[in-house]
Amino acid sequence: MIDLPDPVTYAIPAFVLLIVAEMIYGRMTGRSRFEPKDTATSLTMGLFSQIAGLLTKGLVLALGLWLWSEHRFFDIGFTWWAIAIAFIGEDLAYYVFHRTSHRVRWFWAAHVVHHSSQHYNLSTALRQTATGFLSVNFLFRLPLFLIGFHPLVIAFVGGLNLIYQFWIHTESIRRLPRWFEAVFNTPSHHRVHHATNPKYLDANYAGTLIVWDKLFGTFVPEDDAEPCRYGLVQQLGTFNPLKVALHEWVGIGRDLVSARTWRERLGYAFGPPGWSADGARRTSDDLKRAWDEALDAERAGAVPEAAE
Amino acid sequence: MALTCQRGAPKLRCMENPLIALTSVLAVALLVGLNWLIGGWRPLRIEDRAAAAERYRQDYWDDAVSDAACDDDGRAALLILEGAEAIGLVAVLGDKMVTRRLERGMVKAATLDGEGRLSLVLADFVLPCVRLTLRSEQAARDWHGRLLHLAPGAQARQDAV
Repeated sequence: MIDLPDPVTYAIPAFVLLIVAEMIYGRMTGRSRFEPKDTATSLTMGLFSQIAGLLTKGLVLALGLWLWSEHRFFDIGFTWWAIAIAFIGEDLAYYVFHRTSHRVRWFWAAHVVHHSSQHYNLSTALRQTATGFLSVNFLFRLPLFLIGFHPLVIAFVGGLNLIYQFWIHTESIRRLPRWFEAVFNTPSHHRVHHATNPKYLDANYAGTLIVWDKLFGTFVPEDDAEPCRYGLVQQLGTFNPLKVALHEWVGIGRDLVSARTWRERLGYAFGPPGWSADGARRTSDDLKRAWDEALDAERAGAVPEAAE
Repeated sequence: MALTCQRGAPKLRCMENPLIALTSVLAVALLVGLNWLIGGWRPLRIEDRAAAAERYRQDYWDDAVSDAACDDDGRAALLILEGAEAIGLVAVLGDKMVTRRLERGMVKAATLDGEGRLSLVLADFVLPCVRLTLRSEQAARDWHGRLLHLAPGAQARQDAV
């Protein structure tokens, strides 16, 4: 038997204090900005997410314990090195989950909530989904249980990973020492991830270790000449937390009702965000291509052709 | 399964404890209140047509904006897009702006009252309505006509009248 604490519970007071500190620092220096309605939405989404998590964590843990006890490949104990390896394994699983969440609409429908603010501050870190269970996010951790990591160890290191990701949601920190930027996810790397500028789309999916992005070709460094604009490629026109939580699911529902074939239904549910049967909408790949073409045309001295 | 109980029980107790739920709600309210008190933000206002066009072109860079009309209070703007069967929309949300490319079918209704107030109802779950007041009555009528072209139902109703 083991008894590992839930690190996130202990970190919550620090989250609150750091948000207060960033608000004051931002006001004094102008390096970060909070807007009350946006902050209220972010924090309310954080509450929703915690409540939803408490309701569903037991089921996921039970599934994990069953897989671990009945089907695990190895007996990995509870030593410090096992926890260290579990952290790295969980961080890799997070990378896969996160990348999938941006490339498959079903997972994006839950994850989009986290990207829905046009602000980038510590309150944005708490703007989390309440529908992660619906989009079966827990699937990405199942291989770790099968390998032999105890579900409670994975829950523990997952909590540490979540805490790490909190402080990188800030504009108050520009760059950290080069060795740190080379290995770890940082505010600079994560600003790029939250940016809607075409050159920054679909980049920097890392949780703690940015090396996964460098390894799998999704790393894009922050360019000081191209300031990040945050949010979604089609920004939300509301602060209503329920609409923020459900808007992409509503979109999927409407598209499924209008779909005429199974190919269309699959495309709307599991294609990339922005996929449409008639090609009228644009995916992030389409946007990047159009942006590159516009830049090429501009360099060639021609007026960019209208896409539609 | 004993681990589930060991691990799960304290959390459920936490959730059932109304004091923790109340503290969480209070913390959110205090942070938002502090944000309000500290300031450093102000509701955005679209200053002029150039500002509206510039913001629109950040999102739709391959559209050319030939003209625009801004709401008197700077809360929204409508843009004519060269060679496109669409109208650009820029609306303020807090201290930021939101843009839309309104194509046929995206405007569910467009109404104009006698004082130049245009109300748009959009087929958009997260931006269902936008209101603008235009200084010139003639401009308001022109924009109303353009918007009705994007709302076939509204056009038919007007024809019937």
